[in-house]
Amino acid sequence: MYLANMIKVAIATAIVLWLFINWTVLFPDSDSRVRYVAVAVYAIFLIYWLVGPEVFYRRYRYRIDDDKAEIRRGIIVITHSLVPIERIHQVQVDKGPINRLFGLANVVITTAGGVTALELLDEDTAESIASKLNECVVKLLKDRD
Amino acid sequence: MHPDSPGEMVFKNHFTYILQNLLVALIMLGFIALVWWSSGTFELTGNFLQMFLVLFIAGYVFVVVRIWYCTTFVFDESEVEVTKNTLFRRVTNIQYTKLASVNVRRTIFNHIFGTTTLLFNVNSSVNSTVAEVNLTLKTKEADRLREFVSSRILQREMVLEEEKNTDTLVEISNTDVILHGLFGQPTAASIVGLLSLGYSIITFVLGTIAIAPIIIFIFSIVVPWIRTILRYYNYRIYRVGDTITVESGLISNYRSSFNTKKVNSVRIRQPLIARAMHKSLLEAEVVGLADTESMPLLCPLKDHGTVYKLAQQLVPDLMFDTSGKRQPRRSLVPTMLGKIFWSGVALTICAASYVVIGSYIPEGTDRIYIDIFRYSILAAAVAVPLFLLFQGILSYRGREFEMGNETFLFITGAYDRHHEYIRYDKVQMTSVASGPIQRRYGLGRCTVNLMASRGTASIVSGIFDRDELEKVSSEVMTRIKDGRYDYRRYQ
Repeated sequence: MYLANMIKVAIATAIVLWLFINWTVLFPDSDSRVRYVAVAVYAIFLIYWLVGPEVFYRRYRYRIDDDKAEIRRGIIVITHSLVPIERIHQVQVDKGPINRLFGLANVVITTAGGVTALELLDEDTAESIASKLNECVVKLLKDRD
Repeated sequence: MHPDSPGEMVFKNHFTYILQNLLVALIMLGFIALVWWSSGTFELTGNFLQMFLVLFIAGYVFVVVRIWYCTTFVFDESEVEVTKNTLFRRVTNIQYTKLASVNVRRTIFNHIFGTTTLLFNVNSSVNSTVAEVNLTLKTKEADRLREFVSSRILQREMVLEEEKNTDTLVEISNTDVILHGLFGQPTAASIVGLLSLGYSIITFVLGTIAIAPIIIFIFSIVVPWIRTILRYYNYRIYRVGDTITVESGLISNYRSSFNTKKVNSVRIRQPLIARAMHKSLLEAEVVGLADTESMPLLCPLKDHGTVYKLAQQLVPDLMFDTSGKRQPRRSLVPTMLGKIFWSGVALTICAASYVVIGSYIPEGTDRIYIDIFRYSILAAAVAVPLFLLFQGILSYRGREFEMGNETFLFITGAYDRHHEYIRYDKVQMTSVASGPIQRRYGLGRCTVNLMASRGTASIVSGIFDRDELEKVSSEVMTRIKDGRYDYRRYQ
């Protein structure tokens, strides 16, 4: 998460610096105080990007039972999500380029009503959770037959 | 019909399918011909754009004819097989038990050529607005096929004559349809349209004509109004056994039938002005029933008592008597703090706009335009915070949450109010979210995800005790564990 946020910080910093330096050239008739407002907004985002991952990590919890999957996560707004196994249609393991660098993966759970994910897990843990969820779903379907 | 084997019926689309799909291409071709004729030149060479358009239309015609020729529909006792053999070959098999609804359309084309278009939708959130089977046949043939397929989907013998003689459960007059067209759409769309109209009037008075606001007004108010009148004229709704049928239409006729067990939730919607007139409308979330218009409508704008009574007749298992549990008093704090914050943001944007845009007004501009700009910003600076603060108060007073035996109720909205009755058994996922101030008071908001007529839907509650909201997911899980949820009931 830190790496992804550092990329965002780098891009935002470059844009804000460029705007700040060239403000009077780009907007010759405007009030120069406006650029300080833009810098203040940037500072708020900077704090969020730097502090957010630590808060996210400390708060993130998940639990997989035989009948449901629960996820608790959030930085400012904390969300507790519940997905009954009976509603799961599809389970997949996603590994983006940044996650692959650190041996991490996301488990994406798809239901008929939407999608949720268990994020930033160890690859092995993600694979075993996906496997367990798939087993539960298959067992449920077999019991129906 | 040319049976391939006993018990099978094989169909192709009526040739008018080609004409319907070529309508736009034909209009374009006519336009190009008109331009050529008016310019006095008919040379095909040396005019690249016109050549390109002619080739494009010719190619489109070829594709449509080929699709028509190479698509067949085979109906047997248990499923329908759609074979498309154009550039790629695709065979789709759909069991009747997987179909959610049977829809009938008769547009002007159908009336002229004596045909009917049948649409069958699968009970799935994927591709929910596009029918899996879209078949145009001669009306008598279509009626026979509809009876045959409906009896397999709805598991009862369907007799069209019986349906024609069944009385509608609610009388919808022409006045009701017109009022529905005017006041049935969301208040936000009406406000945008009225603001655009106001702006174009002001510019007209000042001696200029602004086209864009007039276009916005026409497309946000006038066109939906006319479309609604044409769509819901001659409205009829009735229930025969477990099957609800809705018919309407002035120029194009629409008929949709579905089983009550396919209804995931119902919504009694009250836009602001309609609520002031003590009127509401009834909508249903039925997977596979939506078209390009909106959520399926069970009752256009009528008085609230009539709408509620109709809901109890159509879907009695979804409705229950409520005791009116409103948001707790302490929810006022996070609600109003949030509104005050956004009011501050709005005031900041107004002030910044005044300073920044004001510095770009050229010297010598007419005073009247400067005054319009100033008063518009001032009006926005007063109106937007007032709007937000009233929204906070109305949502605190109006939002409710209650749990019944088979369904639960969310009443949401401030200016436009929605009463959502949702089946526990149709809930796919729940989330309870709390912001920093809500957490301090043990409050939160519940988001419920369902399969819906347009794919998926999320319904968000008001601000209630977190523990109370968690009971929704607990009840969903308990019903799965103790067997009250039976998937076979909804197949």
